[in-house]
Amino acid sequence: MRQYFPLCIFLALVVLIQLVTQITETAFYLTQLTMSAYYSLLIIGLCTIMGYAGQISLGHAGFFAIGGYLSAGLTTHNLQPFADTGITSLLDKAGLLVSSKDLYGDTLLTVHPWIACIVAISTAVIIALVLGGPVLKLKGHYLAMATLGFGIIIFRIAMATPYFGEADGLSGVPSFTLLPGITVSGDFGARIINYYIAWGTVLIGMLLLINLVNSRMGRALSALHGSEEAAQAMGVNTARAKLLTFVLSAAYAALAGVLLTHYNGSIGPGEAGVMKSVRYVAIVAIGGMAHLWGALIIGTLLNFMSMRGLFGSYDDAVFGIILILIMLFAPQGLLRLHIWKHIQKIKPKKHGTA
Amino acid sequence: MALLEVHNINKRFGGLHAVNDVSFSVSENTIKAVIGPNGAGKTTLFNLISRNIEANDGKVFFQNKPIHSLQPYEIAQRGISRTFQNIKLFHGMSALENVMVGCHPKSRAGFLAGILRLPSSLSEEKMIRERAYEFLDLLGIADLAHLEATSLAFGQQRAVEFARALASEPSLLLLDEPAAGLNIYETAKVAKLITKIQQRGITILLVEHDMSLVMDISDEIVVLSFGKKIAEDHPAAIQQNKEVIQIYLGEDDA
Repeated sequence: MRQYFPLCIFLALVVLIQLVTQITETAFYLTQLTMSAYYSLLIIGLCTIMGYAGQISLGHAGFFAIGGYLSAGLTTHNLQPFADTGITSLLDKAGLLVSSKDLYGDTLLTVHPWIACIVAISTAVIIALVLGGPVLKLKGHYLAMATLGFGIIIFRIAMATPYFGEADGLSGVPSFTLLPGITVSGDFGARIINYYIAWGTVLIGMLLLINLVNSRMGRALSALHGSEEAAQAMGVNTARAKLLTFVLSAAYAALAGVLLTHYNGSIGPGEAGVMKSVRYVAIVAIGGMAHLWGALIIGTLLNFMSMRGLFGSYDDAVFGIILILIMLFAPQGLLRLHIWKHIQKIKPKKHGTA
Repeated sequence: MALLEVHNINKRFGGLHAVNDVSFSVSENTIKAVIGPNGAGKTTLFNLISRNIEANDGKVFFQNKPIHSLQPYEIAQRGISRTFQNIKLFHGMSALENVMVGCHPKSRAGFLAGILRLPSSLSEEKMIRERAYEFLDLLGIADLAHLEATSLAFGQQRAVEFARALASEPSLLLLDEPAAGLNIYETAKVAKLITKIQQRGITILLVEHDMSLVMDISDEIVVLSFGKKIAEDHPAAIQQNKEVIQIYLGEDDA
């Protein structure tokens, strides 16, 4: 039960921040905090495969984009012209489609967001399974290169496919009613509820991953990170453990993509870009690799700052610089205690020589 | 019936015939040692049995079932555990956690059970923890349980590796140079420990350089030289074997 204590503090903090923004009338911060939450969902998933299982992935923006683009495509493209064709009418009868009116009063027939969400996440899971099988046999730089290649492919597909809006991306993505009364949407009035939907999702995501890393399989993951040969000699099916973790993290990324796309009402190819993947990897590194809380805190802070425009147009450069500095001075991450000890060690020396 | 049987196993690294048509068997509840000069192919032979490297040809049977085409983790699940010559502990994990990983083949909780924290996985986790403590205790290092394994002294790391290998409750334990880097007292301790393990009903196959250890504890010895088996006998007979003396002490010119 002790490992759940931080979750309670986390929940309290989420509520506290919301109350503070209400009192100080700075509720506009909630928008970026909500978006940060979804990015953090991806980042904690990436932290599990990278930090705990030791497998680097430079393709997680790809999985995010698969989730976001598929659910955007399915819920925005009008199927009305095909309403009478076999498959469409079958889907309609099965209750998988919803019809609505657009601005001009024409009927729109689109896939139900829940169905779109399931299709999107399943697709990401299947792609992760197919990709992970061969790719996770690679180690270190080679694995990074292969996943980078995957990320580039997804980016180019998003840029080149008319269905996905090419360079413009997709907009007009409808809201997503999770449960009656709980709707993911960017409506001005739905800001507070969306803040809680997003952070509630992160909370559940965090809970499941904390369970995982403290379980028998979590131990097997840390073991294969330490020595794959020895882990195998202890009966750990390392290929399977790596693959399942990779798939799990891809599902987290896809879910983040789905929810953020419905929240924003749009998605563009920028979300699939390689720089996004690099950013996620950098955040996990800054958080201390095998450190879920570090990844969550750093992820939220940096994404929030980035979306508030604190880094201006040097956004990507800032993340690059941070990555270099962390690798040079704090390869164990910012939140590890011994770094502060390190700094304390340096201090008295300076006084001595001065 | 022999517990482990190796039939005509071969391994070539490019032009080097590292293990050349070696056959031998290990009877249940005995201690068998593989000795030979440096580069004789002892560790390669070990890695062929545990499937860490692929044999060119040859067969290996364990409990009368072929195991020469299994994955290393399947070998472990069948009941063969091992230690490594250059200790391979899991860094970033405590001694206890290292040994807990050793319990992997004898426990079942999967991915989903872990993520959802199912009650069955919780009771199993408790069992794993207790068992890991037992094995640390058996090796007299229970007080080191919560220290990071790779930060321990060399001899202690070796003990953790032993405990980890035993935690899988194997029928056959492969020990790759268990006394390497240990002083004379520690080696005597290892000898005692190996006999103690045998008394628990575990069969042992070991590779070792330390002759006194090998002669003291083994029931049978296989001698390798340049990848070939040149002798297989009881310790007393090996000590008298002319060919063995020759490869260890060199040609008698006189």
